[in-house]
Amino acid sequence: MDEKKLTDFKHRSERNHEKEQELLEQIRSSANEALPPDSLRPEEIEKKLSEIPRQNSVTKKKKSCYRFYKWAAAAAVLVFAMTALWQVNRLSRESRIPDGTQAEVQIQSEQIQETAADQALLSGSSASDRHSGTEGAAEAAGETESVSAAPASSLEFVSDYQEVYDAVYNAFYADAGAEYDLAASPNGTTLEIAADESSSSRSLGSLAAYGSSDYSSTNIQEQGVDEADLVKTDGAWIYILRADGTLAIVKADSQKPVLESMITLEGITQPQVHEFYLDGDSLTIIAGGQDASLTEEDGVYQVSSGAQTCLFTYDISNRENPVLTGSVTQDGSYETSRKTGDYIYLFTSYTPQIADTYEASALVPRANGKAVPADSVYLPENLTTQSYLVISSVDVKNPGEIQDTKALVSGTANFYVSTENIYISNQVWNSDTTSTELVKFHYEEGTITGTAAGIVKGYLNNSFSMNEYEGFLRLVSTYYDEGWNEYNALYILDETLTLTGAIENLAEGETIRSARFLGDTGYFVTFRQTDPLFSVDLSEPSNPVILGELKVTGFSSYLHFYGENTLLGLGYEADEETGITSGLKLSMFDISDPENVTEENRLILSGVAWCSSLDNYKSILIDPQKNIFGFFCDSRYLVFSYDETEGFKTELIYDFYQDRISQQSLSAESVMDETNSRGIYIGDTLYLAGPSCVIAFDMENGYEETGRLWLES
Amino acid sequence: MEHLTELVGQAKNGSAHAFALLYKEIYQDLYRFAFYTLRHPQDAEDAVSEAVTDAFSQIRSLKEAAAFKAWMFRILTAKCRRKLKQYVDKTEELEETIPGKSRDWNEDLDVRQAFFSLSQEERLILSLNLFAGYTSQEIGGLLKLPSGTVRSKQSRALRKMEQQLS
Repeated sequence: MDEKKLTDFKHRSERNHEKEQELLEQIRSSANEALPPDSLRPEEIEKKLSEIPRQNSVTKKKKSCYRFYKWAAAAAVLVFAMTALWQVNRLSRESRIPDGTQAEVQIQSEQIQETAADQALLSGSSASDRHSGTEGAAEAAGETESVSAAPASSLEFVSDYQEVYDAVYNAFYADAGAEYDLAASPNGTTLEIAADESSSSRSLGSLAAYGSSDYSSTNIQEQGVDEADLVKTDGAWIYILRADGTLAIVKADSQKPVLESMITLEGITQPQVHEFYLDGDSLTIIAGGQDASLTEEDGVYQVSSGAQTCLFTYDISNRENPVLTGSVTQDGSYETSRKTGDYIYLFTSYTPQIADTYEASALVPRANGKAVPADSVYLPENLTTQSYLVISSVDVKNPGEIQDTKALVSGTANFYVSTENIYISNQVWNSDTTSTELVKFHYEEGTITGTAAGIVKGYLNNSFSMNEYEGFLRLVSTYYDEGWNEYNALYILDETLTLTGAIENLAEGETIRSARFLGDTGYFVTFRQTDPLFSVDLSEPSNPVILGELKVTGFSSYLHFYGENTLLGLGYEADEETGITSGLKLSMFDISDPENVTEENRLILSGVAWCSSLDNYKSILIDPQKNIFGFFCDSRYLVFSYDETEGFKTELIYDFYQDRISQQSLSAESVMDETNSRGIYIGDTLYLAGPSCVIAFDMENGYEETGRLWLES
Repeated sequence: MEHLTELVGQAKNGSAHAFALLYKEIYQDLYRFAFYTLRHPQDAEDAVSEAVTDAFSQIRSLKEAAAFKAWMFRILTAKCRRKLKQYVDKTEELEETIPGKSRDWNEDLDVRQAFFSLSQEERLILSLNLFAGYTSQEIGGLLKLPSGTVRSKQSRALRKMEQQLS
């Protein structure tokens, strides 16, 4: 470059820089008149904050709240009016329904009469598989008079989408005026996906020749029900899903992990990957993305109307050359998924577009391009949201097809899947009560059938608050009474989600932080300033009995049975007086005598602010048999083992922040990021694996680092 | 800043008043950030409100009082990104139906309109720079992008706006 050119270049870039600064200034000043609404004024905020019931701990907000907050806000008033009941019949029958809700039943009786007309429609549909699994499910709907006496669940299919439209329109639009322009035609759809975290899987085949059979698998809630995740291993390879839409297959080697191949998603632009399953030589990535489907028609741009979620299944029998064997798509943004046997069950949330008329609305979700028939859509009597939960099943052996699809017009708060049933919980806020609606689907070899609906008082902490055992659903919830006093309850529901047993008014002023069930015994932790660990005898479903209550400081936000008679609690330590959290707490409880639970050992780690893993159980590595557990805390990865007499032993503290500093040649993105990385073990090697690197540690030799692989971005 | 440290300390002890004083210093920028990132006043209001509630309940996890502002913006960024994700599903396409910019708007509105025509990521990056005062390095850290990429994305976004406005 000669001097003149160089000077020109410099001038140009200076000019550019000036221009940029000028424009930035313009943008800034254009924002000056954007004044915050009154509700955000500091005085208002102060008022609002002082009204919040004091949370004494690091609180975790429910994801679900965010999700339907928007709709809730938009239709707040209506929701208010409409929320009350999932199921009128059930409600009036159960004595333990929140009083406020009861009252609502009365007030709304007129409305119920009206909806009975819709119910008549409901009962008119006759899908062959409906009711299967619900014994003696009568055609309750339509019998206006005897709604309250009808024994059936109100889980009914709709007869056509007009019915869904009417219900949704009446619930959310009729009064408020439809403010939603329809940008897209009912069929104009697009690929897109919302991210989520979840996972699990253990591969079964093809390991004999390589690798170890001694390796960790994703931490899941229910034995036998796999969950997807971002990192998995089969003992020979480590699979890492990365945000850029690629999946790295790394040959595990304690000295020298090697990148074997990289899967790049095809047929999807701007893929947004969620997580994946691994099953022997089959690997299924869950993703979504923008379809390039901005189409022009008569000079008008049609933008696709919604999110889609896709499953891409690969044959990885040749790890160096994975081959796509099939893919399916489903409307809606990704909620979660499970895998039982050969079937993946995919849950998405689809938002219909409601216009002033049925014709102009887009109401029909599609599964693999095909409209979900109306007789597969369940419509509850009272709507809290207009979105649908869409559930599909896919056989990984036939990955290009969707086996079955059902939809439910409902929001969702938590998903719990046992080996036979899917339980969906939905929170309903009322003027003075909170309740949780439950819908149960039976599933078997890919066939999904809605079987029951129910409602309980309060809200659930997370999916661990639910557990199925011998046909009964046991759950723990937190609720407020009329005076806004906080209480907790344990409920046992039978196969039809009818209440059979309950304990209420537990732990006044405290909130459930964690729960875990084992056979006939349940354990849950409530917290305000100290941490009572409750143990409950559930052997008689109609008569659950609190066995014991152990008070310790701090609280556990994750519980895991660790060995036969011990329960591990991971959480935060807190000051007994103030409840202020002061560090990470590991507790080992001796549960050999549920009436007399004791804290056998504890370890407090101060200087810890936030453990992301405690909010995402799948990011926890835990294997009691191997006696190892590990998780992320702030920028560190911590690994522990446990000995009854010696207590907790810290095996490894790996600080990625140090890594960032020492690894000067690499940019910030090259270090582990705790939300997308996992600890796994294979044999005696611990790997910390994430989107940008895999680090190997020798577990037999003081967790010394033995090898490392950087993955290109 | 002793004052700041003190207020953060009081907020950690549960003082809504102390928190509100801290908030007062930055709330206009918080709102502008959310509004410019999300394009919807109502959503911006919700995002700020949610961020404030979360921040108040989590303020004990704030280690350095001096980092209060950056920390608040971090929480708000998370809220906004969550909403942006929903947009692709729900609202984004509705925006596209806004009639093309009409020339008789005043300059500020033109600038705003041009800004709103940027992609989600571009809006987020520019807003972080403009209203949160983050450097490209810090933005990169937050969004998991190399800082060079952040700078080039920012330049590209500004060029796009320039074209619209010319």
